Amino acid sequence: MTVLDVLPDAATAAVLDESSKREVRRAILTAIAIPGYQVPFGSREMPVARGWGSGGLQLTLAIVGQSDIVKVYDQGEDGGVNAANLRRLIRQSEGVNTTTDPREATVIQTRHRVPEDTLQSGQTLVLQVPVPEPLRGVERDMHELRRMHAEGDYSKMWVSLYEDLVRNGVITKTTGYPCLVGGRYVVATTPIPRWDVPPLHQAEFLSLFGAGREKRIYAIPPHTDVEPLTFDDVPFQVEEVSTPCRCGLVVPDGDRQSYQVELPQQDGSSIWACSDTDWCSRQRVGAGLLDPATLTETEVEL
Amino acid sequence: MMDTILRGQASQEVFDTFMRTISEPGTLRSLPMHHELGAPTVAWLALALADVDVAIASNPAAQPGGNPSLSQVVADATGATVTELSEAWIALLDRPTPGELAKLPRGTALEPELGARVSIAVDGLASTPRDGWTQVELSGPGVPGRRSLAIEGIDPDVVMGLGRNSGDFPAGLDAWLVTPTGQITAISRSTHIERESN
Amino acid sequence: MGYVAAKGGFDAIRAAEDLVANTRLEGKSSWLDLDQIIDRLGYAVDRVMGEGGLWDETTAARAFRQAEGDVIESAHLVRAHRSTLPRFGTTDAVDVDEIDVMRRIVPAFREPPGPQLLGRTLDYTGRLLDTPDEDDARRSALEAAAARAEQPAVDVTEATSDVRVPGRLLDVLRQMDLAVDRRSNDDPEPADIARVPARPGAPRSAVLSTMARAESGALVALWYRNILGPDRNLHEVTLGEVRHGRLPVRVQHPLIDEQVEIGNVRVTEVEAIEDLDGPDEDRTKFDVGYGLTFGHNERKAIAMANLDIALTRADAGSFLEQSILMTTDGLDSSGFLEHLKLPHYVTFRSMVERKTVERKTDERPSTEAVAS
Repeated sequence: MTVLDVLPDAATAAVLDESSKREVRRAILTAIAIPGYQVPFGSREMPVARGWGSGGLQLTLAIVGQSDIVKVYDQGEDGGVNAANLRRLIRQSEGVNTTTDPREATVIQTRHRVPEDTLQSGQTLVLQVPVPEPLRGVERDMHELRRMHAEGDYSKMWVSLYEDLVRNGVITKTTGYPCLVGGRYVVATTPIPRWDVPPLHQAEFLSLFGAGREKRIYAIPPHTDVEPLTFDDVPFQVEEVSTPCRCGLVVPDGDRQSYQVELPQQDGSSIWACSDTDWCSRQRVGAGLLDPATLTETEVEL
Repeated sequence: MMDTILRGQASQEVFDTFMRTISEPGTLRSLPMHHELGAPTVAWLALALADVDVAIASNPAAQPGGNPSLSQVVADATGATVTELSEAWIALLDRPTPGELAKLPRGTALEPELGARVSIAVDGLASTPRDGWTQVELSGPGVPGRRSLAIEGIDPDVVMGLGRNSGDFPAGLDAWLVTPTGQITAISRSTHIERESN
Repeated sequence: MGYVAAKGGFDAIRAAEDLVANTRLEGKSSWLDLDQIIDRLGYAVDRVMGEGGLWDETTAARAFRQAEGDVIESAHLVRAHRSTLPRFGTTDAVDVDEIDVMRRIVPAFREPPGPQLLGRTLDYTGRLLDTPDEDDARRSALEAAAARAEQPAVDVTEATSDVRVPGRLLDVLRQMDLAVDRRSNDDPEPADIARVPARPGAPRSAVLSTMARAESGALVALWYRNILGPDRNLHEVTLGEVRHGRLPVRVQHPLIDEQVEIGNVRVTEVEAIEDLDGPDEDRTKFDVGYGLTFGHNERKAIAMANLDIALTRADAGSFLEQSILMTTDGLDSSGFLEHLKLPHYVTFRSMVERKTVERKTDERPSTEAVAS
């Protein structure tokens, strides 16, 4: 199957009809009004499989207009195949412009990362969510899960964190770290790394989370508390980032580094690279390490 | 008669305004008024969001002349169902009484999404105090610290019946206040409201 | 426009699409027509319609061809296509007693009221692989078709109209006072699972809709798990009705405000009888589960009817409802399974980091921060 086969008239065809967009929009408003609450919605089947960003895609298609500029990236990389596929689909369906630069994007659809750049007021971050239920690790029964959220009863989660700490000496939760939103609802932070959790707290921007397969939408409005669950004497830890990017970029001490991914080598050693490829390129150009003329343009015009 | 159907791009732009205002309660924005609609601004929330799956209601004050009712105008444009306030998914209210507000569904802790979305017609909105207007301070999600809001043409008890004040959160009402000229603000159910005397 | 080269992924997708198109569209054989698929691969078309939740043989055949015979992929194409179509309204509910059967068997009785009508079925065809000479087979098929065309047409409607719309076994059981009566009015308007996600606590109509649209293999597996596996919610099932037939589709005419029939759909319908033997159950009675799905798909309808009654009887705290509602949709399970192929290196890096930190912690002399 290809996307073009699904779109009979690729230039103008909409993947979601107006009524479906309205349903997603209604769920978005409720999600924003009740920060962190997972609003059920009648998730439509998209031209991409469930689990491949169908929830994020429905959110983006529902909120964008012709003046919007959309960035889509995956693992921090604009060039990845899934990001490229979704970007093409959004552009063809809604006729919007796309970019790789998060500073000029009005809507940023992402899988597993928050941009290293600080996003601004008026921008919207759309996160693709595979598993929206933060408590699934401690409770499988959906009746009980709903009760726990309804009553704000997160004791099982706290017990689980405490046992983790006692057994392992640290909290071993990795990505999708559970956070309390607006002092009321515990959410799953998609699976973004812990590195990306602090930028969500009291942010200038709106975050929308879309879980297409599980048919849930939730939101974090701007200026809303996002507190990682941890104990008073055990500070929340982001991933340790100590090695500079292979690009040679050295961020001055005290400045925020960028999230690094490991590139294991045949000889057992590893080199490291910035996960956020657009950010990395811009820093290198700024530091004189990279000639912008050597960079290929994006596929925007293709 | 002017068209009452919001389509495509216009529908998205109007929705975007509602989304931005509920994201930051108490901020003042403007509806994109270049879309000339044959319905008052208080109806736009429903014109942008309703379809055959949505039940809407309006109060008598929102339909001067009374026939057809405002909710019927919206229903004709969107395919929505007209219903009573107590069953409304979207309510369109002009100068609502606290009694009318109390009729609206608020949802439950298990299903907070069943709480109504309310569009309330007011005479004026301002971010600084005005003589004779209802003056409130808002805080909570979407509000950095506190934000003041002055409203003209609303029963103060109605304002205090919005937001998180009634203590049944996450049940509640999500409200947009809109002037005839399209100035708009929002008070979500998670907003704390304090009344300021002036 | 940004700095970074985002073109690589796009080029790779284009290349993959070319490879797909090469074999599917050009191929080495002649063009595959939609009527061939509808005509000769009917069970596949029916499965796609059932799992896609859309009755249209041509659309299903188109999807099946595009998906190169992958049923779940075909169902995905059908449902994604449906997402782009505006909704004009809903059909009126029809009484399934109006079903015009092409096949009907009642295993529970030798001679039930109404016919035992074997109809078209693979049940008793020998499972021997035909290995004829292709040219001979083609020639004899043409000859058989020609001979059939010369025979006088049998008027089936006149002679058999009453037995083509037989009463159902549940009514017989009710007359014999052998069935518990669970009829209620608490779920009058069928739930629309395309609009309102079905989750535990959903009405029975939502559970039935979910199963009608479920992946056939998933339902059969869940059924078997309840027979042989750890769940054991099924006990002593006898089939009352197994039917394949046509049901009318009716809508309210938007202009003349009258009900009009706009066509019909083929469905498979099953009633499954369970012997009530639980401590709180009426041991003198049976109870009946119901299954119905688009097209001819008896495996699926039987599994559905069995699971319906199993769910009615399941203990509080059983996970059967959640299993049916949340794990039987083919698009959900396959989509999530296949998404594991997407890059996960950002999350994997985070996991590796915690292992490293955990090891450092293990090497520390004590964990006093924890003890406090």
